[in-house]
Amino acid sequence: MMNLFARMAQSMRDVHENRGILLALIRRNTAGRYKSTYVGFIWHMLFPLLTIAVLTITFTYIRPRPLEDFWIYLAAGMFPVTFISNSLRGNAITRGAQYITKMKFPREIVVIASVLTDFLGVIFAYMFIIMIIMLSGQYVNWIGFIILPIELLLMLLFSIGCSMAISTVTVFVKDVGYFMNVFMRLVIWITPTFFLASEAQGLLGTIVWWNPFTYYVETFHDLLYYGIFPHVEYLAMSLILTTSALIIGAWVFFHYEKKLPEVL
Amino acid sequence: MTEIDGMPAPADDDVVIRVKGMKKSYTILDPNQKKSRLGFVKRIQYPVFDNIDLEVRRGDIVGILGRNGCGKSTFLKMISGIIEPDEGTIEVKGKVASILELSMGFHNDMSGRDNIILRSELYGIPRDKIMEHLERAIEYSDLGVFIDNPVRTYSSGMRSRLAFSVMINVDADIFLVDEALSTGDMAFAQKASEHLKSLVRTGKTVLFTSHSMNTIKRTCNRAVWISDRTIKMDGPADEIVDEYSRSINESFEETLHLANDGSSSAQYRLATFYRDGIGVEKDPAEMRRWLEQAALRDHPMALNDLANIVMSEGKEEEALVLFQRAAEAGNFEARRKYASLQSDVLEDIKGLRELMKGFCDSGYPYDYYNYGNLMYRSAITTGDYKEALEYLEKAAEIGWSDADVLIAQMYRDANGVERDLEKCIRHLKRAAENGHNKAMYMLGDLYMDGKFMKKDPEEAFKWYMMSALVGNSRSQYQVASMLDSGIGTEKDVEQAKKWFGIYSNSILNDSRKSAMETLKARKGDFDVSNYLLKAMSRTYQPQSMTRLATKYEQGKGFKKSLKGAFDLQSKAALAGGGPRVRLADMIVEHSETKENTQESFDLIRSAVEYGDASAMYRMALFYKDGIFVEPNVDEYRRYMRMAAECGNRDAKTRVTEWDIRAERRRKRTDHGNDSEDDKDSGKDSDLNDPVQ
Repeated sequence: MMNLFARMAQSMRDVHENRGILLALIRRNTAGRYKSTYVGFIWHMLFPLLTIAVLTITFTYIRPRPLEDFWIYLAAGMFPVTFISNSLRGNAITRGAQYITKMKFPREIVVIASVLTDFLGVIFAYMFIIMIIMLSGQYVNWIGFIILPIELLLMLLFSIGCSMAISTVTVFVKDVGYFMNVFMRLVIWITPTFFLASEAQGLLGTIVWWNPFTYYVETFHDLLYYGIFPHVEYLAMSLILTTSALIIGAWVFFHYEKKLPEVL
Repeated sequence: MTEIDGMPAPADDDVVIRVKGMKKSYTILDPNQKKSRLGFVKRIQYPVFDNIDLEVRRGDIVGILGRNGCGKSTFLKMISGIIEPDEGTIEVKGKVASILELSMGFHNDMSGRDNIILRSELYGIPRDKIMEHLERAIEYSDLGVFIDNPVRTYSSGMRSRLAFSVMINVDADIFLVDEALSTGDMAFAQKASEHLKSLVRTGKTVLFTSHSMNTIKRTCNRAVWISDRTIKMDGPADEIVDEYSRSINESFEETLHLANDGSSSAQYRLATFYRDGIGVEKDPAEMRRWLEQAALRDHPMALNDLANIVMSEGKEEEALVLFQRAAEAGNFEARRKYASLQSDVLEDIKGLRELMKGFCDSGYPYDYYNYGNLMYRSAITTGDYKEALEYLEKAAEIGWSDADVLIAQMYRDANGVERDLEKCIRHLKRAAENGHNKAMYMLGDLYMDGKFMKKDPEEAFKWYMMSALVGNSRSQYQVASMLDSGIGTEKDVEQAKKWFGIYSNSILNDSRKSAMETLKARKGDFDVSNYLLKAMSRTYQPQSMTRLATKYEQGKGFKKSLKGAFDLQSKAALAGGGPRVRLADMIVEHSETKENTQESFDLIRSAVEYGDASAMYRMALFYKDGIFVEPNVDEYRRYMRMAAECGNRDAKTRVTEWDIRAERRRKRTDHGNDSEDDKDSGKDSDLNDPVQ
């Protein structure tokens, strides 16, 4: 166990030292993705904004819910859920195979870059949501807003841990990747995004709290939709989940990383 | 293994890469296990490297050779630290830059410029430094106006140029380059190779793999050949490359591999393996199959060989098509055969063959040789080759060295016989010992280029030296350069200078001086008179025969002998147009009777059929002056134009003159200007031209 922590500390130093490569990979994933479009990188911000617009239109006019500002509830939950589920699809390493097999650098950078790229989307989305909330003059819990970056960071680390574990396993057993893809669809539906956690009845009411996503999402709901200081048990649970995901992810990744260039 | 011969043991500081007892194996699926119902297959360990030791010193530029899948790339990956060894150690001193794949990290939608920045960042170059050197990199890439276009619009050559331009900014002590020089055009490969060389000059170390043996030869000072999980050879680049290419050419498995990949030359080589039983049982059916495969890809020699086989099966029409394709693909032998089969020349050659065979009754070796040579050069069926070989051997037995050389060529190139280097060398040696110059340098070449057999520079030098001593300028140059660089002999710059001097005299064609130098240089291995005699006897080419016949005719240097001259010239006349004209002249000159002049005319007419321009010119003059024939203006003009087309200068002058006159006449008629001149040129003034 001590070895693992030492390795993780070493890894942090390595990543910091090679932050140039990390940034280059993120830049390649973001700027490169929209390069042949007219507005380019702006798409990366436009995308969340348009998604928010679609959600608002859908649940205000097409399929209205009798809840006030339901779109905030939706958007606050939708982006984190999509983000976490993306990191659990297990394709981070296989997508970065060309770097791992051809370059000598801290291999975890590939995973981190992949997760961070998606994370940027969440950040932009939240920026818009907060901006709209503030512009519309709604009630804001300012103490809660100190919690928000911490919770976002916890979610980021949780995703990195998950991605490290799942994408490593996917390299060796491809089936895991496919399974996770399908499984994530189910998980999205048992996470309180389209329904309120308090509405969940019967079986769903139990499962919802077995789902790790729920604790992150509910924290965000508390902060952005309800505008209250988040439930402490949600925060505590997020912390526990993040720590375990990181430990498991790091263990799996560092245990198998040397085999990666041979298997990829 | 790791020591390069002749190098002083260097200080330990100089070793920048030290690989010790490295072992590595990959996990692969057990090839002997059937898949179970669930698709689980037992995995086994497959060794990639077994106990590799290697030391690379600072300033080395090392080429890594080996067939596909031998682990070249894995080897570089292990040195760069991407893959770790199972056992043993790899110590690397200094920063390593691995350029293992050119297209790595390119983003298709980003511009060339952005990709240079991105790639540089991936190589860990700080941003400010990238921007500082960006223009230099762009200039190096030579992409010009395309640099701001998306990479997806680039050709593969442009991509590799772009990729390599990133490399010039990479700062490291050791560069590992995988297949980077194989793409792009020749000029760029050259530029890249120069860059690697310049890196080495500034104290860096380079290791690279390439499929191009020339690149390795040109760029590297050292080469490592990986085969069978270990370093098979390690040493100076050109030696290792030679050994490697020889083994590739001779290895049945390797050739089969390439042939299956669709390389027509490998398919042809494979066919010869099946034909000659190299590395495999002889198998005519397999040989035929691979020949057909190679022929499908228009391999000229395969087409030709296949045509020969089809021909010997009696399918003449099919063979003709194949010969035609081979001829179009550039095979000279096929061109000749196609031409022969196409026209009546074959009949002519048949006549010629019978005639020459008749000469063989004399029992003279040169008659045997001439007939054998004719059969060989005009051979169409395998039977022809056999007959050629039989007569050449007869001539060789009696001591006609040209025959030995020709036989050796047949054995070397597997022309009509199975390849047999032992026989080839035996014949060459016999000819060389008889003072045959060509045989000497052919032996030198055989030992030197290592294409057919193991390279042996000492032996090569011995033969080149002999050939140089008897005055062959090419060998003189070879001897000089071998002395100069100490290959196959002690290095001796003074001697080398002397030989370079002799060589330059030889090529200046200052025959007397070079003969004197040659005589000075000779060490008494060869008797002068013997040498001269043998040299004079090598007159089988029509030109030399003609020259010798002239000497006999005029009694220059020889006892005057009209009979000898006629004999030689008649033989020369069998071979072509020019000598026939000369023979015709000789007949006219030395005879008074009418019949003989008629013979002379026939000779010239037949020379015309051989396409001899001077014969055409002569025919034209005959028609003009009414010699042998009735004067005929049309025939005169026809022959003159024909001669001009075939390149006779006199005829050309005359035809041009006609054309100019005709042009002038046309212009005048156009202007309606009927002058005195014009009337004059109405009749053919050419008939009044004096014969030049």
